[in-house]
Amino acid sequence: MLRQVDDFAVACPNEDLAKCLYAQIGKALQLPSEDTPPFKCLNLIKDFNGLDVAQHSDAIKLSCEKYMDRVLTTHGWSKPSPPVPSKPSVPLPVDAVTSLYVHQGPPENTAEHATLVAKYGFAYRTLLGELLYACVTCWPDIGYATITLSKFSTCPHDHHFAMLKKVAKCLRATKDWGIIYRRSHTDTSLPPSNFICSTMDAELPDFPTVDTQEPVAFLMPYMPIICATADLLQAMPSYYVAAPSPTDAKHSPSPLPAPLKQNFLPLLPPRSLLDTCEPS
Amino acid sequence: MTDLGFPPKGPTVLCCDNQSAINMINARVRTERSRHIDIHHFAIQDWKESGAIVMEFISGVINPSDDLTKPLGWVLHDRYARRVMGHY
Repeated sequence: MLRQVDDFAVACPNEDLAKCLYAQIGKALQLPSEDTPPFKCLNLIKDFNGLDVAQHSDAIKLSCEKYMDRVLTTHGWSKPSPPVPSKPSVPLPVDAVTSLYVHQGPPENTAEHATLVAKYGFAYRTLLGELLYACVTCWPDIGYATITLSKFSTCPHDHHFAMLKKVAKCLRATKDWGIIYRRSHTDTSLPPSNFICSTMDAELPDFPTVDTQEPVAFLMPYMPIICATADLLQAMPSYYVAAPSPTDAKHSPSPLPAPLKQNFLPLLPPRSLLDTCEPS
Repeated sequence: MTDLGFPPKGPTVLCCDNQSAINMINARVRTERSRHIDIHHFAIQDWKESGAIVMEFISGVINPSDDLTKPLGWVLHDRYARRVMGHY
C-alpha cells in the first residue's frame, strides 16, 4: 500500500497532457469503495512551498517575495526607515572579511547574549535560518553572506548582529528579484513578461544563458526536477500542480497512454526497477 | 542527467579566470612549481584529455562566480547576481 499525502508539481508541455496524467494517477489512487478519485488538479502553478512562480509566455520566474514579506513583517522591518540610501545595498560590505573574523561575542545562553538579542530584537539563529531558506530558494547572491555569518552563530558579536540585519535589509531592497528561466519556445497561452532580455553591460560576452547551458541547479537542492537543467524546461514548458487528499491507495500498474509514454517514459526508471520496488 | 533522459550535448565548459591554471591543464607538463601540488588534483588533466571538460578563459571582471566566494561592492554584486539569476 502507498500513502500519498503531499502536493506535487508536474512539468509538462501542455494542459491536456497534465489532465491525462492526473486521470491516470487518480484512477490508480481510487479505492473500490470511493466514487471519485481522491486527487485534484489545481491548474497552473502559482506558488509552491512558499515559492512564487510567475509564468509568462517567454519566461518562468521563481521568487519568494511573499515569504520575504512575511519574514520582514514578523520582525517589523517591512518599511525602510526615512533616509533611503542612494546606492543599492550589498549583503556584506567589501571589508567584511577582516572585520567579521576579529570579533568574538558572548556565547549563547549567557546574560550578555540575551542583552544583545534584546538590543537588536531578533534571535541570531532564527533570522539566519530564515535567510538561509531565501538563499537556497531564489537568492543565490546572499549565499556568501549567510554562510559566512553562520560561522559565528555560537558566539555572535554585536557586529555580527548588525551585519545579519543588513543582509535582511538588502533582501528587502531586492525583494522582487527572482530566478528567471527563459523559454526556448514561446507559449502563447500565457501572458507575455516584461523582463528585459538585453544585456546591460555592452562588454559582457555571450555568456551561457539558461537556454543552452546548465543553470544554477547546484544552488537549488530542494527542486531537483523543476530546475535540474534548462533542457528539461525546453521539453516541458508549463507546470501544473496537483493536491491529492490523504488516502490509502493500492499500487496497480496500468499501461500508460501514448502521449504520456512519449513524454514521460524517458524520465521514469527502467521497468525492471519499478517491478522490483513494488510495495507488497 | 543522462539517467533522466537528457544526455549532455558536448563537453562541459569550465570557465576559469586564471590563465596559468588553464595552461597547466592544457599543456600537461610538470613545472618546477607545480610539482608541489598533490597528484590527485591532476585528475582534471585526464578529464580534459578524455573530452569530459573544456577549459576556457573568462576575465576576472565578468566572472559571476566571484559573487559566491567574496564580498563585493554594489556594482559588481548587482552585475553578477543578476547574471546568475538569469535577469540578463
